[in-house]
Amino acid sequence: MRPDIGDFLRGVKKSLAEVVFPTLTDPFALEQSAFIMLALDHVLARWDKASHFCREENRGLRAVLAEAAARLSGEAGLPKNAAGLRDRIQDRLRKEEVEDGADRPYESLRDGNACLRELLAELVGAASGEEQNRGARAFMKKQLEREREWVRVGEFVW
Amino acid sequence: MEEKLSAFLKNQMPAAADLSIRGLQRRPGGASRESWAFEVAWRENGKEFNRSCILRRDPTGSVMEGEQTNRSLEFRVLKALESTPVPAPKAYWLDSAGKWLERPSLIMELVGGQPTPGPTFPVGESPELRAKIGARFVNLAELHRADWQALDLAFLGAPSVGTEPAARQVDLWEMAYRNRLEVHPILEETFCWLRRNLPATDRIALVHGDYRSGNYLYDETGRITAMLDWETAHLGDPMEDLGWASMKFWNGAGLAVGLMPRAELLRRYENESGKAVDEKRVFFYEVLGNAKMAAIALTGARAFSEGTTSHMLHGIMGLLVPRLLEDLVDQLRL
Repeated sequence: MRPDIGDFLRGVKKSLAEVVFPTLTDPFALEQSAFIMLALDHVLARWDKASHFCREENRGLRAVLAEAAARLSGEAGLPKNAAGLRDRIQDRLRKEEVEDGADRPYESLRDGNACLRELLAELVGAASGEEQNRGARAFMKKQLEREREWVRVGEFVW
Repeated sequence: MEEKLSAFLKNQMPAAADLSIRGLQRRPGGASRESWAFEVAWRENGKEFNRSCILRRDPTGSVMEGEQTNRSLEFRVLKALESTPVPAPKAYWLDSAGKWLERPSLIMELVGGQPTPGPTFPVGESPELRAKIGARFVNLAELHRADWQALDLAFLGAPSVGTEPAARQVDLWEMAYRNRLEVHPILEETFCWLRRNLPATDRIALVHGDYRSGNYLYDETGRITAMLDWETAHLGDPMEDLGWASMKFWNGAGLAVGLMPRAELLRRYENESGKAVDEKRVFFYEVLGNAKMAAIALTGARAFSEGTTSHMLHGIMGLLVPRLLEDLVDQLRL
């Protein structure tokens, strides 16, 4: 349906630039307005890609955590805390499996990713050597590349 | 706001007559505190007084909360610096609990000079001016030479020599990070690295805590008229300020804080201070600096997302996190 979100955002930007900003004289309000324009540029470039971005992250997080859980299951004489972490990872992965699907709402994906990130962070903190963090690091670097791209607006990169 | 300010100043100066405030206006710049400029005039004992002032007030939501900064600390540091050659604004009045001005606030001198428009010296400025500012910037050594005991700054809590100064800063900023909007496994790994690599220092100095371009005022003759933003000042390892200023994040045209190459900054500081620069410690504090900046950005993003701040910069700062994480990945070879 038109006007869609992009149409509205472009309209808001134009209205701010042509109607509101020229009337501003307060230096603080002018500074805030410049930040609002930057934020609008970012939102305009990314609003329709947010779900895809989250879905990709979700896929990556689940893969790296499934691999870690399998590794932890294969280790003999696992300390109690590591076994607990493995169980929580498996539990979360099962929940993600249930909620997964093309129609999964954005908020559910975002919150799911937040839980998965927490588990990955715990895994990184609990690792006893570089070897154990290899998979996590590979994922983090890939995710970081995606996040760098995410904050790019045209030629401008934050 | 003007009424509250007037009532506060009358309370602070009971002998003042005909007190008036002019030109009260919120100023742009800065993310951690509200900044308001105004003029105050009054008569006392038959004499007329005029002061140009800056009011710094805690915001409703911030990139830095309680443990990382407070108005009383900044006020006392500014008072102490008045007797040193370190250029800093004079501190006038303090409303430490926000009883008069709604939130904790301090009022200080409005110093002449202009700030750099961002955290780096502008690329387009003349090389001569850049060189002059650079020479003043390494006067950081003067701050580190300040006798904090004689200046009555022991209230800041002096850590012991050794690894305690580094450990304290890691604790402080890890705590700030725990208050973040979302978890970042790269930062988890960074804080693990910092804990494993705490460097030892053999001297304790007054550390600015945010020593970079954007936090000083300068004039056209190349003089730094005032170093600002003392809210994170503390006693610690002097290499911390060097590490912070060396961060790639503040680079402009490949120059540390837009002023000079990193190696030159360290060499000139060494000459100014007469003390050897320990590059390993500087590197440690560069890593900590990136983690600290990421924690600040994430805390600001949280305040923005939860609606406890209306400052747009707090939201925008969240977009800076990937760049900081990228620098950490490079530094730690993750």
